[in-house]
Amino acid sequence: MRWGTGETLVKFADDYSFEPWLAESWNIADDNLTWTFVLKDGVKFSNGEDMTASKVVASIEKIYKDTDPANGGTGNPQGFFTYSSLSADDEANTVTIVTTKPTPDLPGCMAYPWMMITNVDESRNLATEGPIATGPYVIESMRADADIKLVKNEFYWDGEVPFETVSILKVQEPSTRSMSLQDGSADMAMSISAADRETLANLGDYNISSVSGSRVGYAHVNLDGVLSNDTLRHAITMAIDGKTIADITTNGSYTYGYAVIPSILDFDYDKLSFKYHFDEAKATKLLDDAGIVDTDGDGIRELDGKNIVLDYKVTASRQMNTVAEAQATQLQKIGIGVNVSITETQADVLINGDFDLAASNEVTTPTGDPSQFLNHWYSKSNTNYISYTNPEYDGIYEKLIIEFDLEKRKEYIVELQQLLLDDSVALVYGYYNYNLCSTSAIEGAYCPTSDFYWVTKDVKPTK
Amino acid sequence: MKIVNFAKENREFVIFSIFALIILLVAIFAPALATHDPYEAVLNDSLQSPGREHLLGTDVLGRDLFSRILYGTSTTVSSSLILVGIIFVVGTALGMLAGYFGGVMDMIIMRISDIMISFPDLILAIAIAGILGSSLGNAIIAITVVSWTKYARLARSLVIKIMQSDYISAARLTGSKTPHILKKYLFPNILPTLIVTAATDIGSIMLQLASLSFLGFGAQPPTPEWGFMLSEGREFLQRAPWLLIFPGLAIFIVVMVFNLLGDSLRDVLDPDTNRINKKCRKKVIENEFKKDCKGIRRNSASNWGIKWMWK
Repeated sequence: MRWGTGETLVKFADDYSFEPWLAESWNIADDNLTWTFVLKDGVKFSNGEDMTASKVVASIEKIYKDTDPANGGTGNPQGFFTYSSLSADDEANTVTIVTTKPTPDLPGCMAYPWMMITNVDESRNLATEGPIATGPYVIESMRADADIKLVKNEFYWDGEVPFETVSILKVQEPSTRSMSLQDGSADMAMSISAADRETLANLGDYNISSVSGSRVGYAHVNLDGVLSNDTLRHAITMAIDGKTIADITTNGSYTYGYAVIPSILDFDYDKLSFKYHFDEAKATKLLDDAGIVDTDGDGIRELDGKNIVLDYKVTASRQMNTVAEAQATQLQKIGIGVNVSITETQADVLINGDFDLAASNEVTTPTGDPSQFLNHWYSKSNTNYISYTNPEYDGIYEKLIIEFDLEKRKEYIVELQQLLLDDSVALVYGYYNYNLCSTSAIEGAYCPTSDFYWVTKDVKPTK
Repeated sequence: MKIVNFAKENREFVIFSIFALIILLVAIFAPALATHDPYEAVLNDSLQSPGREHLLGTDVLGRDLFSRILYGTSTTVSSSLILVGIIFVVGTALGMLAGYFGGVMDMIIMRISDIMISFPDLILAIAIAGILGSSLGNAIIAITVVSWTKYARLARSLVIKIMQSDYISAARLTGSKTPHILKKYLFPNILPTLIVTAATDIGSIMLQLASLSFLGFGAQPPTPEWGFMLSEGREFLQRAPWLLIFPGLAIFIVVMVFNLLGDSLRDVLDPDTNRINKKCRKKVIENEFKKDCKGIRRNSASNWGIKWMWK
C-alpha cells in the first residue's frame, strides 16, 4: 500500500484523525458493536470492475482467512478486532461489521494497511503478481526482497495518474540510498541517515521531508534479573542524557521524549511528570545511598556481591545500536557495566527473555490508538516480555480497552504512562523521525506521520 | 659481523622485520601512544574532522579515532597471531600424525579436512560464527575450524616425503622410537616450510578476522577493532569519510607488511630457492640452472606442497 497500489476504507490524517478514503462515511450503532461503512460510488479495481460492498466483504473475509493461524497464517497483527458477522448491502453500497467485543478504534483498524481492499481472485499468485486493488498504480512485476515495477492504473477512480511507470528498488544500505539520489538513479528515497541528510541539505536542490511519527525507540527493561532492583533502574534512567544522544549522536533522527507514547501525538504528554531527568551526580548518589557500590575497585558496582554488567541486545536498524552504545558509555561512567551485542532480529531475544535491556522500535498507534501497544506492560499479555506486574496498571488497562469516550481514554493512557515512568520500566530513546527525500525532478513527495503512504497520486513530475 | 652479513644478504627481510617490529611495539605501547581514552565518549564531540585536538577525527560517539586505531592494532595483531599460532600447532600436529601413522588415522584426519575444504572458507566461518554467537573469541574459533586443514595437509605431505628418506630408515634400523623420530628427524625438517606458510598467512588471517567483524560476527562494541570500525563508519561514508579511510589504511598497511615479511622469510628459510633465485638473477646460466629457473618461476609463490613434490 505504501507504493500506491492499494487503498483502505479509512485513511489517517497527519494528526491521526480519520479521513474517508474508499468509504464515504461510517457510524456505530448504540450497541457499541455494529459498525456501518458507506462506500464511495464509482471506485473501480485495476481490472475495471466496480468495487461493490460484497467485494469489500470478500476482501475482509479473505484477510482474516489467510492470516488465521489455523490456516497456517501469522495471526491477527496487533490483536485486531474480531467480528461475529460481516454483511454487504450492494443496493445501499454499505458494509456492516458486527464486532464480538466493543472495539473503539475500529476505524483505525480499517485504516491499517493490512486492511487494504482487494478484488479477491483465488487463482492469482499474490507473491509475484500482486493483488488487484484500487490504487493509482498496479504491480506489473515484483520479486521478494528485490524490485517492484508499477504501471499506471488505467481505471483509477480519483483523478489522473501522474506517472506511466514507477520502479521501486529495495536498497539495504542507507548510504547507497542517499547516493542513488545524488547520482540521479532515484527520484525519491526513504530513511536517509541523518549524516547524509545533512549532505543533501548542503547540496540544496533536494526536498527533505522529515516528520516525527508515532514510532518510539526504547529499551525493554527486564525485571527478571538484576534490573528488578528499583533503585538501580531509576539510577540508570538518570544516568542517561537522552536529549544529547537524540540531538547529537543520532543527529536528530530521534526527537527526545521520556514517555513511550510520542509527544507529538495528541495524548497529553505534558500532563506526565518525570522524576528521573538526566543528572549523573544524582544517579551516583542514589546508588551510593542504596549501598550499591564498587567494593573491589574494578570500576564496576556490585549488587549482592556480583558485578553489575547489563546484557544489552540491540539491532543495527534505525541507529539503535549507536544509541545503545552511547548509553553504555554513560552507564559506564556511573559504574555500571554494559555489554552491547548486536542481533539480527530481536523477536527471539524478547520472547526468550534473554536480556537485561533490549531495544525495540515500534509504531505506537498502528490504528490511531496506542492501546494495543500498551499491552507490553499488561501482566496477562503475551507481549509483556519483561515480567512487569502492576495490578494498578492492569486495572486501568482493562478499563481502557473497552472505553469509547475519547477524553476518558486519554486520561487512562496518561495514567498508564505515568506508572511506567514512575517504575522506570522502559528506557525511551525518543521518537523516530521518518524521512523521505526527493530530487527536484518530482514534487508532492512528503513523509506522512503514519508511515503508510509513500507513493501517492500526489507525487508528480515537477512542472 | 655475522649479523651485518645476514642483513646485507637478506635486506628485504630485515626491512620488513623492522616494520613488523614497529607494528608490534605500537600494539604493545598503544596506551602510552594514544592521545585519548579510546572508550571515552564525549557525545558533544560527535564526528569531528581530523585536526589538532583529534588527529584523525572522532566517531559518532565522539571517541578519538587515532586512539581507537592504536588500540585496534593490539586487538587485531594479537588475535591474528593467536589464531595463526593455534592453527599452526593443531594443523601441524594432526598432519604429522596422519602422515606418520597412515592407515585409519590418516583416513579420518584427511577426510575431515576434505570436508572442511569443500566449503568456501569465509562462508563456513560465517556460518560457524553465526551459530556460536558474535564475539571475537568465537570468530577466532570459527576461523581455526576452517583453516587448520591447510597446515595438516602440508605437514602430512612433507612427512610422507621425508619418511622415504634413507636417514629415516637408518634411524629405524638403529632402533629409534617413534617419539624420537618425530621429534628429531621429522619436525625439524618440516618446520621451515610450515613457518613460512604461517608467516605468509598472518596477513590473510587478519583480513578474515576483519571481514567477520565487519559483518558483525566478530568484535562487539565498544571493542576497537578495525573491521568493526569500518562497519560502524559505513553509514558516514559521505559525512565523515575519515571513519572509513583510516581504519582501512591501517588494515592495508599491517596486512601488507606481514605479507611481505612472510615472503622475505621464505627467501631466508628456504636456502635452495634463495640461492637459485640469486644465481638466476645474476645470470649465471648453466644449462641445468635454466631448467631450474623455469621451475622456480612456475612454482615459487603459490603452492608449497606441490613445489616439494615436484622437487
